[in-house]
Amino acid sequence: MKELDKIIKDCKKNRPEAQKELYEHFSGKMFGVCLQYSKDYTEAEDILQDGFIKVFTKIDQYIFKGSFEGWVRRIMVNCALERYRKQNMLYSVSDIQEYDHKLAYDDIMSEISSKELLGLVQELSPQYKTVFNLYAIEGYSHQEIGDMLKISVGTSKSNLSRARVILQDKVEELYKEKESEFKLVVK
Amino acid sequence: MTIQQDIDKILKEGLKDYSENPPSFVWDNIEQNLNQRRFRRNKNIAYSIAASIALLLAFGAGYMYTNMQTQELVASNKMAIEAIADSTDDDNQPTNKQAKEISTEPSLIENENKIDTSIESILPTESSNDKSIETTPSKSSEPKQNSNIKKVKSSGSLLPPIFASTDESEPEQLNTELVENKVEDSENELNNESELVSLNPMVMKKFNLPNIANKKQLAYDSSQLVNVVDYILDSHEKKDYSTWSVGVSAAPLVSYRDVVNSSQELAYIADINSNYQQNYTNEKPLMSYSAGVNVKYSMSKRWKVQTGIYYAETGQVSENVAIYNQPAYETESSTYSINTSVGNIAVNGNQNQLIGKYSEQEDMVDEILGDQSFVYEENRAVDEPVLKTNFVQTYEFYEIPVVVDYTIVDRKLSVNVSGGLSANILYANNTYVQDDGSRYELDAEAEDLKNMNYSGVFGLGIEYPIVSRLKFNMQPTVRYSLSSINNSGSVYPYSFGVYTGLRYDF
Repeated sequence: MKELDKIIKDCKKNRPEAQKELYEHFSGKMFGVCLQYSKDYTEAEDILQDGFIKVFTKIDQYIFKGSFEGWVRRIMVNCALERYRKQNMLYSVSDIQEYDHKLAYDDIMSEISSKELLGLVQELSPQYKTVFNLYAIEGYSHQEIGDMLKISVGTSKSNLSRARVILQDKVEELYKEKESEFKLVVK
Repeated sequence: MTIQQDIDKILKEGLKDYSENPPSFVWDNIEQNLNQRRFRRNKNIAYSIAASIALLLAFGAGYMYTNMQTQELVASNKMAIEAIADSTDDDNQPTNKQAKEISTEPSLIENENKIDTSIESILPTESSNDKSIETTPSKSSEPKQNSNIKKVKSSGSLLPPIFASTDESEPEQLNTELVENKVEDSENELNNESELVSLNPMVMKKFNLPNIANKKQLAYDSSQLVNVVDYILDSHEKKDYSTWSVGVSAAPLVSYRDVVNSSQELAYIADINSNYQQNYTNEKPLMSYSAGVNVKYSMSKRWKVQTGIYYAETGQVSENVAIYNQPAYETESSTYSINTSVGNIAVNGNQNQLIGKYSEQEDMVDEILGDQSFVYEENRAVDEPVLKTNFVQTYEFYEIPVVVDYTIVDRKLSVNVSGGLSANILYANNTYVQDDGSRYELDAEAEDLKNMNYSGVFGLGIEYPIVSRLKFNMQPTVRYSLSSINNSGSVYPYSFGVYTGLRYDF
């Protein structure tokens, strides 16, 4: 694998072989990101395709400041958001009281695989999923999420709370299943 | 750790490095799409080149056509004079009146009117010719020649000398005054019949001219007339305008831009989103200035070509941009970016520092909207903007225009139109925070700008001489970018300025 900067420079020159190399380097990880924002594989494949076309057509904008992977990731997230906005799926949501679950981080991480966690996120409704990903994974503020999705800051906050509760329940459920399986195995 | 942060962390850590290979058809689709784009791009480049060539040809053809018309007019006049000269007879009356008399031959009567028409079509009026020509009793009146030459020139006619001869009964007395001393020489020379001016059969046919009997007389008249024509041609070609001139000019400038397409990606990755969703309607034109030096070359009396180098500051103002306090995790970055129609501006520092700096400016402190205690409380992001301010973005260009200039009204107060292209080299770009006239510069750079762009230039101006060679001019000029100023979107700046300046003719 050639040095990444060299590949990027060649991509800026619109060279097909460099484009393929760049795709091969990032497609796995970015497909993971796309899966996070989509309900199924078909949707994730579409986002990945749109995202990489944008990466190649807008690569001139990348001026070697900051992480290239971060730049590509943002493009993928933006493609996912664009798709979300096009579908215009709006779910009425209400403020939910946050539950005080008792769950140990280390226990969870040792028992549940990334793939299973991904499945849990995918099961969320489109708006919950988007708000949760943008806030918890990408680190956007509620104000920014509100601007991106054209929702109020309050809605963004309540969506996040609701998503957290749902995920919390599901993680707990999954953890319990794993634990009982483990006990069965031990017995 | 709260339960919310727990679940966030579980998901964030769990999904951080998650990777899964996509099916191979995804790349096939991407590749196909990229190939189509390549083809389209090549096609566009070919069209652009073709359009440029067409434009150049059109300009060139226009110029050539104008030149050819002038040359044709001169040539046809010369031809007519030769023809008339050839048509004159030997019997003391080598004039158009004589021509009429000659045409009493039956075969020529029907053509009489045509001859006159042909001649008159070339000449403005006979009376004007008469005015412009003063016949003199003898060839010895040398001192008068110059003044008469001037009169001929002022009449605007190319043929007056012919009619000057109408009042003369003796060919020897035929003095057109325009014929210089060499007339005598040519008279002698032309006594030799071999030196006769040849009579073009085409001209004969065209003007239905009679056959000439006395070749010697014809030779004499012809020689005079040809000399007259030579003189006129010389005087026509002689430039009574300056070929080169230099000038300076400056203008107050209003600049703005057309946003055909702006980059969504850039808007989303920016920290301060000015107003992408509303297509940057908060942006307003910028008042600035332009100045430069130019050099003009006159191709003819009315056509000039001009180039030069100008400095121009253009840009736009983003009004009422909301600035939020940044939470700690966002201030780890050493830069933040402000999104505008032409892309993102990378600013060194963080938003909290901007707010802090802003609050230190005495004349700006009132603009802080929220509770200032938020300003340095870096661990919380506020939902309401801490301040709203204006960002001024400027682009400094060196402009090298190549402009063709045509004089519509060629009087003392002349009026001209000009059009051409300008290559603009981006020299610097700056970003300022501005409120109520106070502004301070940010350590910032617009990232998405191209180093070069091209614009069309169109102007309509007036010029007036202060003293003979020094002229004052004023030219309202519009410039519109033909290429986008930025890499991502399609943003075309334009400007309007009233250029005033001085021009010195060499």
